[in-house]
Amino acid sequence: MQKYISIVLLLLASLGLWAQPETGSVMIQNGTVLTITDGVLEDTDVLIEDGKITRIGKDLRVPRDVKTIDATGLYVMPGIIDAHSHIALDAVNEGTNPVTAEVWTGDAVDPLDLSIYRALAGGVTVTHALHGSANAIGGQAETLKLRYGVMDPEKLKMEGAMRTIKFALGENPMRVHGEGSDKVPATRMGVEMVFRQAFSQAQEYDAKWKAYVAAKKSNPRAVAPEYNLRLQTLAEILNGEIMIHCHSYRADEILMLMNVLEDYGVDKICFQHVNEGFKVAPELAEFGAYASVFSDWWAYKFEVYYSTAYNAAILTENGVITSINSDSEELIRHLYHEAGKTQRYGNLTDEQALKLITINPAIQLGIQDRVGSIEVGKDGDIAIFKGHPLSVYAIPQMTLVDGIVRFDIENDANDQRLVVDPEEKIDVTLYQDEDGDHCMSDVEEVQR
Amino acid sequence: MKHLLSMKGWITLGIGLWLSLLSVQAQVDVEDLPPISGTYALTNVTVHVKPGEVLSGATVVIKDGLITAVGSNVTVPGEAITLEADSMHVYAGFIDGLSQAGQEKPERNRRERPDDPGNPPMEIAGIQPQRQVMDLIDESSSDFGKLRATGFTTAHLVPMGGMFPGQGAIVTLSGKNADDMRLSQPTSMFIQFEGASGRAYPSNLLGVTATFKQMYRQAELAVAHEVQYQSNPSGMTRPSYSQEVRALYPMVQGELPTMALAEDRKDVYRFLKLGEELGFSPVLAGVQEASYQVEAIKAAGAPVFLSLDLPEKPEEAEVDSSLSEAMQAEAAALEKRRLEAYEMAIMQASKLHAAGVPFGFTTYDASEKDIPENLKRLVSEGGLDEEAALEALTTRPAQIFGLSNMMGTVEAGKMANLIVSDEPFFTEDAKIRFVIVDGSVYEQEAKRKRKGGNSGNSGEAANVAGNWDYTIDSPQGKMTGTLVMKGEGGDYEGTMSSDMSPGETEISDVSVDGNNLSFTYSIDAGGSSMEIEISVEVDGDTFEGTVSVAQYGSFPIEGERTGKPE
Repeated sequence: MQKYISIVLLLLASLGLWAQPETGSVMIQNGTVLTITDGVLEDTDVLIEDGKITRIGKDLRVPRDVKTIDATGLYVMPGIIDAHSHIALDAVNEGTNPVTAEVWTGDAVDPLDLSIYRALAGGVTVTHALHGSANAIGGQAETLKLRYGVMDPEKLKMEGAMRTIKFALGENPMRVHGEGSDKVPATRMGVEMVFRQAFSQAQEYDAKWKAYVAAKKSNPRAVAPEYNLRLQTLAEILNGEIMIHCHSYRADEILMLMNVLEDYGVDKICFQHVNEGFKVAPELAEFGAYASVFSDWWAYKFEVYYSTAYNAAILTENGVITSINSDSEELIRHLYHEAGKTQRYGNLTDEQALKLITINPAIQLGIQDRVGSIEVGKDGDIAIFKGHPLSVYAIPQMTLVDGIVRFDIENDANDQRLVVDPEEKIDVTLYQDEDGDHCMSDVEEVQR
Repeated sequence: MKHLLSMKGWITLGIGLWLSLLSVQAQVDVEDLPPISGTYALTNVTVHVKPGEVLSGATVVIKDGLITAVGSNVTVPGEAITLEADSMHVYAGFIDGLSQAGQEKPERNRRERPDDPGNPPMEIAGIQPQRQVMDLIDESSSDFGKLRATGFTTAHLVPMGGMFPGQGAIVTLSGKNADDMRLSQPTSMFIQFEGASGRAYPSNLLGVTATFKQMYRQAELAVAHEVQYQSNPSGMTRPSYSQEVRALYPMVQGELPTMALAEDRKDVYRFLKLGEELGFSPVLAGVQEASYQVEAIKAAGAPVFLSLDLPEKPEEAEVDSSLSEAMQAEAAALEKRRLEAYEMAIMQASKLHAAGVPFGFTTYDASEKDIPENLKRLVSEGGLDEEAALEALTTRPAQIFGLSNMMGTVEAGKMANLIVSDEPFFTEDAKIRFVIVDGSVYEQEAKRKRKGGNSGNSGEAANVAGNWDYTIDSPQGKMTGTLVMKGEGGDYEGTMSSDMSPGETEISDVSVDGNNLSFTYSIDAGGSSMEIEISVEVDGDTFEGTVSVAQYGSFPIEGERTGKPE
């Protein structure tokens, strides 16, 4: 264990040295600043220095060598945060075992994924790169900062973000392991059993290691128990070091998991999708659970039929910290529209709606001290819009991460790929303009 | 898409080709004759002693597997056989950083799913670090001769299959059996990001990386336990026995280098990170995208073996003038980026050299027939300094493997591993005329003109008999298999088989016209018969063409001849 601890310390030290992100300084002038936590500030400047917001106010003096961005007539909001995403990953599911707590999407980060750029073009600066929902207890997740252009996977990681892990209820783990491999869980009851069994094993494992560490003090010949990364990770959940993000739909299962967590003394949980969350909103609020939902996506399988577009609003009004997520490389490009839908379905205020894609997901990822609002001391992650971001006419203009412009609609090249295969010949994507007709009839032919 | 997948027979596509035996670099194996003497001399040769040191008009004497004299005033012993190498160029034999020559690809993908996919047997999981590559090779494989013909006299062999395929060994590419070939063993722990077979755990990068961490840390604790137990077992529980974990002891103790297959830039970053996290320093092998990460590789200080599997040079793009202006502009922009990507690939060696990062080469995944040409392209197109290239082929790998006192230079006392080239090696038309390995001389006749090669218009039908490995680029991904063609003249028969399903299918309607070969065969697609047509153009030992499947359209196919008909 001693050696292991020293390795961990070494790792932490090296992380500090290695993962220093590149940062920038910039002054964004005269914008309508949607701070999220301090109202709307008209004609206001935001100064970012070395990647951090250092001043917010009117007519700020521009420090030497700091470039300016003219945001006159534009809206300046904190970078959008997606609490449920699978972009920028080379592998999503280790779907071969009902419990895979040991795996970590941080090991499969793909900084070359073009979806990073597309998400930035929708104002997104942070994604929660979740493991998939094949397993009752899936893998640990990594929170990414969309530093488009970096090559080293480590540089995409949000240094110091809270550790999280994916759980899954219902049909997905039942189908993969029950139907797929004739293993537990084949039923919803089985899913609960998998959780309880895993947590109980983790308790035993933790006790063994604690006993060993204690014995080692008096007996240098004490033998370490067998190392098990899976049980070790589960023990860290029990010890409150890792927040659970659980794929969920049905109210009964959501209550079931809260009961299980209560039995094992776990209190950090964010339910993902949680389509029937509106049925158990008070219970979620009482537990202190968070909810991350779709605006209006449902009925794609049986357990998702009972859904409503009012879900986010109902959860919010019941005091549940709620976010709207994408779970999709397409939806992630317009999460601001998704948030806007809660005004049509639920009459949320501008601030409530914007919180769904900014500070609320930040809280759910344990990074609310760093991002999610425009405040002095926070990271310079900013999205600049023409038109209010909750308007259907909103168009993202520029997205900054750590004070560096990573997307600028004025400098948007046709080909933004970071990786090109020298042996792959790609057909042109434009289609022939025949007879002045702009219909799409020939698209297929040309694309072939 | 689904139909194709379900068609068992689709996979057993077949193809026929010709083979012009004369186009092969025929080897006259002097070892087949009783040697008159173990002493050989090369006279009036230009000796490339080591990178940057050249002796003209020199003599090299080798005796009983060793270089005994190199210089201008060397007396040739009376018993020496003088090789016909007057005015040729002599180099130290090349050293291959990573090779899987002599092994059959494991039939991993055909394996059925284990009962408990989450906890499969170690073999299926791909966790077999205890295996030794020398137990896995076919010592009579023709791979070794093919590799030798390209100028390599020594190779670092590693096993195939899974994340922990096993341990590597250094071999000389001579000898008739594994014992003769083996120079040292084990020399490395080979690791790669390759998931289990049979859709079992660890199935991909996630499970594989977690398993590396699990096993490495487990082995560290086990070593500590073992050491204590060995010193005094009394009152202490016995260390648990797991051959897989025990095999990792030398790795975690830093006694056995770890060699990682790191082809693309992400692999490199991931293995460096994993090594840093766990505490080992990987040797990076098969690297193809170093141009994008020169500084990272330099900072890590990891030994590097660059891939000799280079992309083909993009052909000069022809602008289709029937396209609209906007389309032409887009096509031109796409081609420009493709060419840039090609240049980055071909310049990786020179970029590393310019940054002062030493490296070696590996033939992993490179086709033997392309290796000499690719080495020359790295110099002529990639701007690699010839001395640096020679260093990467000889002294640098010798140093990485700790063999500098045995090989890598043409100096007295070193093993007689030599290449004799009729012109300086990196000139375009240079041919290797002799390869000498551990004192055994292999003479290579100069390439003769092909009988039927590139003479498609003459109508002269070439010989297409032989075994061919083919690859079909289908919508389901790459499908591979073997085509066997028997016969000669205009009379051929053959069979197709696939790596993805057992059995073989007879082909029919074989037609050979100049360099064009076509044939058909039918497969049983769920009760109904389906006709498949194959039409390819043969160029020497390779072919390219199309596979047409009734209503499903055409797909590209390419192939390479791997051997003579049995």
